[in-house]
Amino acid sequence: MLGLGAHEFGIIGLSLRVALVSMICSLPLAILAAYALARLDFPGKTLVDAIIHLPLVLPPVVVGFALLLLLGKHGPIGSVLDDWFGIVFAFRWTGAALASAVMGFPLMVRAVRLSITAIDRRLEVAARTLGGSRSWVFFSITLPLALPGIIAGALLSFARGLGEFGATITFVSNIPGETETLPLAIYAYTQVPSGDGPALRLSIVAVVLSIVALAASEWLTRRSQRLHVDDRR
Amino acid sequence: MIDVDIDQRFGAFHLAVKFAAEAPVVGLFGRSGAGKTSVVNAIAGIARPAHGSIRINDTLLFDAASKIDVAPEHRRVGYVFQDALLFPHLDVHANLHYGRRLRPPAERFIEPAWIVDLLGLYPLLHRKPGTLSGGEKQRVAIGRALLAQPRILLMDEPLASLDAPRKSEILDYIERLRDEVRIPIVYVSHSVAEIARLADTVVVLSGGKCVAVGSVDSVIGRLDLEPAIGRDESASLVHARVTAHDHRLTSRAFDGGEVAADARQSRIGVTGRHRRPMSQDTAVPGDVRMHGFAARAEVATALAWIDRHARRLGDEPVALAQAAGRVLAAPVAAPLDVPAFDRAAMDGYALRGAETTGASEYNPLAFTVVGQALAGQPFAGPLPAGSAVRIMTGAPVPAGADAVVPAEYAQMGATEVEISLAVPPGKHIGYRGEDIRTGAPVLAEGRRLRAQDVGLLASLGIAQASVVASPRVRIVVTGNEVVSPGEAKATYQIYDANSSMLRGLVARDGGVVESHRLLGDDPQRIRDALTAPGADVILVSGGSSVGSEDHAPRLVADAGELAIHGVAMRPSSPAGIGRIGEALVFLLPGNPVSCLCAYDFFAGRAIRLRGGRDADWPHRQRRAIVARKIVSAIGRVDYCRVRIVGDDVEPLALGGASILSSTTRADGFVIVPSESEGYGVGTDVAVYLYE
Repeated sequence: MLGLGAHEFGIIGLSLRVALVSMICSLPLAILAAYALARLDFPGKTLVDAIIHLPLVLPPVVVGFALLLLLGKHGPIGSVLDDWFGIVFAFRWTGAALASAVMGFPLMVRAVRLSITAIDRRLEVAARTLGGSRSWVFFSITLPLALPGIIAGALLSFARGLGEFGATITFVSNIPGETETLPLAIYAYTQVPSGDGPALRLSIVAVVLSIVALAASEWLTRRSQRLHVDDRR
Repeated sequence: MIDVDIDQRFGAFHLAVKFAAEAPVVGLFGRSGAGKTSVVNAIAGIARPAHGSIRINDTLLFDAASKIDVAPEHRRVGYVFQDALLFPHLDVHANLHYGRRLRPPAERFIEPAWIVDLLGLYPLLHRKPGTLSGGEKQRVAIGRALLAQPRILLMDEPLASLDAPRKSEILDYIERLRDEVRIPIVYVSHSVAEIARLADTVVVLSGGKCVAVGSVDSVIGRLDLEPAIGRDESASLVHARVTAHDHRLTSRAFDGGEVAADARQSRIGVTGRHRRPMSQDTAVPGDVRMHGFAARAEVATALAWIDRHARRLGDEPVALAQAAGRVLAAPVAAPLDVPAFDRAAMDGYALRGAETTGASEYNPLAFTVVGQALAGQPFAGPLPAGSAVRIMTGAPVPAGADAVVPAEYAQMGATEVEISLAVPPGKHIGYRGEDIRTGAPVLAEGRRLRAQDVGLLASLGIAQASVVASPRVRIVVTGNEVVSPGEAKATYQIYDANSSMLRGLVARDGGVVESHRLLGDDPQRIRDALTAPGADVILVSGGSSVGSEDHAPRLVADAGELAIHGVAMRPSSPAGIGRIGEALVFLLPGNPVSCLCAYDFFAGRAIRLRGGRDADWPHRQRRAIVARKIVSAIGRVDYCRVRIVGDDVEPLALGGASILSSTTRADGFVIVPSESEGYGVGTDVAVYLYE
């Protein structure tokens, strides 16, 4: 198939793993952030909003550099994590996942926030008067009703993760087998003689993956929206 | 027991509501923006007031001073919102059970099967809210709130977004709920109809303040609450029991009568409240005066009061020349026979009928003519056998003669006349007393004398008639702004249109204007005009409402009785009716159209009754087809000015009560009774014609 070798499959698998892990790990945080921004009033809300959206407007390289400074082995956070928990991000695939998560986070938050804002708050109020605590109402009413937005946000973040380049290469470098995701590999092939063939093959894989992700997103969104109306005709 | 005392500012709006009410259903009433929803939100715990406390039964839900604020999920307050707010991702069954699952089993006393049955939800259980109609959604919402096992049910305008048939359907369900589930309900509405039907105690809110608390009977209809309740919403209440249905009407019995109204409502045997429609039969008993103001009465109540109190005036003799149009006070019997003697009805010959037997054109019989009888110049002496007397119409028939042969059947010779017609005895003779016998009744009491009636009286030798005295009507115009026509006026002043109009109307109804006084707003002068003797009916124009310069209602109440103040009709709702001594007093609104309408409905009727005339509308009526719809509202009588185009009738631009020109342009008016919402295009209606 396209003449892909074990090396290429490794790259694809790593990319999928990085994107998937970054999506899953950032999802709860993104939902909480979106809920807080949509429903709560707290001091510094604007600042939080701005920080969440920063990766959207900053050059990815700057984000990667910031991650390197903060979470590198000698960075203020990275050293603490390493010393206390033995967690290391720098130059590991988890670092690539973290970079993807940071870059995809605003996209996810935006989508979820929009769908939460669209929920009639009075439904939550009604649920409270029926005896639901704030958290139960969140899980039983808000979350199911926000599902289309959550799916859309997750898929956007996943796709962003598959394509992440700048922050990843800055933060975790391009280490074959560890941090060499699809875009990094394609870039590396284009930098060597006779690398055009493999680069093209991987590019086609990237296109296919993107299309599949988009289609899956569309299908899931439709399915979840159908929850809101009776499917009996 | 619901005890609410809350204080909260929202910008310029200051909500400060304090009331305590104990009733199966407490109606929280007020116009939009009155603060109703803020109050229920505070009760439900959705909004936190700055100050005060909220207590339900013995449970303190909120107390600002001691910082008690029970979370909404722990208040056990069932809340039914205006739009049902069902959870769209759950089916009806899951919606119903949402709250129930969250209550510990020990607190569950309302069972799903019961509620599903009570609200007729069984066929809906597996449907999603998106597929339900508005009424179905609201029923599910009510069931969901009940199954959360609440201590109290809050319903915030639950019918506001439904159409009329759905409203009625849901009201039925809520009534069943009230009677069967026995859970206290706070019912929020801006509709008097709903409050009147459901609530026992009413709390009236206006501008964030509680302006009245009391039983539904005592609060609905208080005129001083009109700004809070709304003009078109006020009504009077009758408690009645449903006795029968036919296909359109529901009959309800109450103490003192029976009413029939549209058939949307309760089952037979159910006792409920009914906003009484206009009907001519009975009056609602009971004192309508309260707190110095009168209830806004139904038109029928006002008419019944007038009919009880507008007693016919005494008699007065009047010369025949002035009698036309007056009302006879006593029956007239004939003092003599008419005619007073047997008289000829034809010019011809008086003779004995029997002697003409066999006479014909071919066999004329000869009679000797012995003389002649003229009107006022009778034939002296009896008629010999075989003879005739020449006689003129109206002349007395000579003794012995019993018939008259018309002149055309007689051929006069020198001394004899040849008769060519056989006449039976009695032919062409008007016998004495044939028209009217002595002592026979000629005209009945209460008869309004027509020209020919007066002629008849004259023919009987009657020179003067005993008629009902003409009601003496005093017209009192109040208002500092009113100036007589012809005088100079400042721009802010207005000419007195009402008294000129009232004079014409009074004359039409048989009254005489005793005096006409323009008094400004000086209470002392108005009091004097009200209490001075000499008037049978007093019409007060202007100052009848509840404004600061509206003294007349108070003055009437002080000097006598203000029986009715405020009538559920349009225009002229603030009309007042009362009496001081023997005089009936009508407070007519200053707006000319309202004044005309109130006069026609009430004052004119009283003047006619006092003058011995028929109480009914004096206007000629005709039928016409509605060409543009006539809009009214249930619970209100409308006096709608209309124009007639061919056989069609259409309403004139309505609204402005002071637009007198509308009554000039109008050909007449249509009355929309209070149980009707108006007439659609194509309806055949009775039009009262202005003449």
